[in-house]
Amino acid sequence: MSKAEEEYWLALVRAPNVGPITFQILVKHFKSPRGVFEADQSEWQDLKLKVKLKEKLQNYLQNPDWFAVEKDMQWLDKPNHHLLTLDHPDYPPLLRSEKIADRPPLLFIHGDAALLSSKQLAIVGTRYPSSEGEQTAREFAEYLSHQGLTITSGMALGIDGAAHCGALAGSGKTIAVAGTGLDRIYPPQHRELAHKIAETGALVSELPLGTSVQRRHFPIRSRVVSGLCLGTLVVEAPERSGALYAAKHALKQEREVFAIPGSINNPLVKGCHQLIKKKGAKLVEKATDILEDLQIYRSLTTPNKIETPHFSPKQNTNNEIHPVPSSTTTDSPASQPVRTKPKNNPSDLDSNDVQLLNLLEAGPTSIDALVEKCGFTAASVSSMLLMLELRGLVTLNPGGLYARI
Amino acid sequence: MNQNVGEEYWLALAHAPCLSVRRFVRLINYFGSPRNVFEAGCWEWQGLACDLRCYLQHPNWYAVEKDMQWLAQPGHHLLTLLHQDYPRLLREIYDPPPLLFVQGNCAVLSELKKLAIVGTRHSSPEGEEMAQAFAKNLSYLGFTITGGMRVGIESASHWGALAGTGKTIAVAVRGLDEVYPTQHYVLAHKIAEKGALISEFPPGTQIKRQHFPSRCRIISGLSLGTLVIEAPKPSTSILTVRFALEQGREVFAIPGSIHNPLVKGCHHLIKEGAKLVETVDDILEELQIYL
Repeated sequence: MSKAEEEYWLALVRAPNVGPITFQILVKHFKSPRGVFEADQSEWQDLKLKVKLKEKLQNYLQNPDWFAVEKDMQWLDKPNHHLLTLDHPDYPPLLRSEKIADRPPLLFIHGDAALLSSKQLAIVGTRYPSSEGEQTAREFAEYLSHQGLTITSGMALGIDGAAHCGALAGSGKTIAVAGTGLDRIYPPQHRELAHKIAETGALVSELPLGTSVQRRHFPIRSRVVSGLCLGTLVVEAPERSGALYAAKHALKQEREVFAIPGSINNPLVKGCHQLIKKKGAKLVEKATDILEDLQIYRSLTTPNKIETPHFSPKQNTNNEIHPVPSSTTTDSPASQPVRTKPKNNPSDLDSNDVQLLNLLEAGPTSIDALVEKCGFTAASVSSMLLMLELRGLVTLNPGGLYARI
Repeated sequence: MNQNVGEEYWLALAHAPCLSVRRFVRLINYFGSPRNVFEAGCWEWQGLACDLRCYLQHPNWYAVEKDMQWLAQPGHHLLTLLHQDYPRLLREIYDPPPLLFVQGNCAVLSELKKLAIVGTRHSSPEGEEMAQAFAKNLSYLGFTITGGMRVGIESASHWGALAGTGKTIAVAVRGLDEVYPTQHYVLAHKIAEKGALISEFPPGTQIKRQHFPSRCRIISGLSLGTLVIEAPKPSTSILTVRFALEQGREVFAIPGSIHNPLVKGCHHLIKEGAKLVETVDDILEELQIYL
């Protein structure tokens, strides 16, 4: 696509009172945004739009904001900055779905644009979570990102932020849909997080650069979050929480909705319970529930607990998710319980052992610290260490500190 | 007096060895009444097992005598399958107990609005509090709370119902002459005062392993639905739910934190289609068609 074409898209998106739906009507009628600018009066007459809106629009088209477009183009020239228009082949196919009438005509991207077409899961929740909820979001995001899912969220405080952090700790593939133009970062506390996301993941916004924080943008943003994803996981959401918008949009877009339950005395999970009761959301206890439901893995014989995630030994370098062939499923780490026995071949370590060895890379470590870092139970860590010691990969130093040989 | 004579034959048949509940009912359906079974004579018994034929010739009248003595005490009743007070919902299940020994208020049994509250024996204080609160509120709404008087959730729900209107039914796992578990002596007496203790086993029957699942089918069979509060995955309360599902009754479950192993069973049930319950209203909503 020529640059000039993009400029017309950018100019049209800044037209007053033109939302995604009007934008699409215009593009459909005039064939392209350039067509909108170059149309003559007779073509305008056939257009089925309110007269007032037409007048306003034509006024704007007389004198479009080329200055702002110029600035947009400058922003786009910078490395890692991309623009995806609705007719672009890389525009995320899930978001382009007919179910989403108000799909954004333009997506501004800072980061890896290809990530938008990968399989994604949205993790959303309240901005004021409990520490437990935050930890749950982080653990789910980390585990699922290792399984090849891209974690998408809204970069809000609380659960959203925790989900991004978890995904960054995992494979690093995470998408943040911003509620402002991408030249600003909101909330300001997440400045550092946003930079990290832009490095290994992607920041996305449908709003033109320079758009400031506005209350009404946040619910609208949710439809992009859910629209990009196969499913939406609600971690903690009180009644009438903003996080429920994403779930609402996901239901409308006929995507899966998952919710994590909690105690009935906990007001922070009321929204999750509502979703399970009234909207048919799937109750999720462990991350494998989601994988099973999305059929990322065909057969999981022994689903493992989220408290003890298992990491796939080879992380998927590309964004595609390869379903594990049934012959290897029985050997795959995700299908094995914590206390995996070492395999016959000593050189063939399983992923848990590898993870433990990686943790020991830092220097002699006590078993308690290892337990804390890797999240396995103390019993399984000590048995794993024993096996590694017997294989001559690890040694026990004085003071109960384990070290790599 | 006539009815008592009939009762004796019911009791005598109940003491027959190797006679399953289903066959008991089939015998009655065929002969009309237990009395007819005994009076039919050798020719009619030919199709029956050898053990049973022997027993029918020499029934254990001594045991029946003892049962009659127990029944003669105030507040003790016997409900046969054909008795008009026999709980209607229980009669509909696949294997209804032919006899119910009742200690307490028979009227409680014939009421329709019953809800079972079950859960683990190793409950958390929070779970017990919930059981108590739900039982109390539901009893004020006119429900009779059924359960197995087990330690933990179930005893808490019985206490809750007693704190409400007092309408509660405990299904015992042994004969009603003694209380099991023994620490629930006081609870059992309170239940017998305001509600009812029931058992399908004649007084004096000792606990056997198979009585526990057998009791579960009665708990769920009596009730319109079963509410599960705290159940780790392999739990007896899950068995009650299985019976409830077989009997076509509603199943409710209260969720909890995903880090709480005590609610794993509840979450499993919700995933399988049980209704998630946060408040009493969720239960009422589902049971409205019966009320």
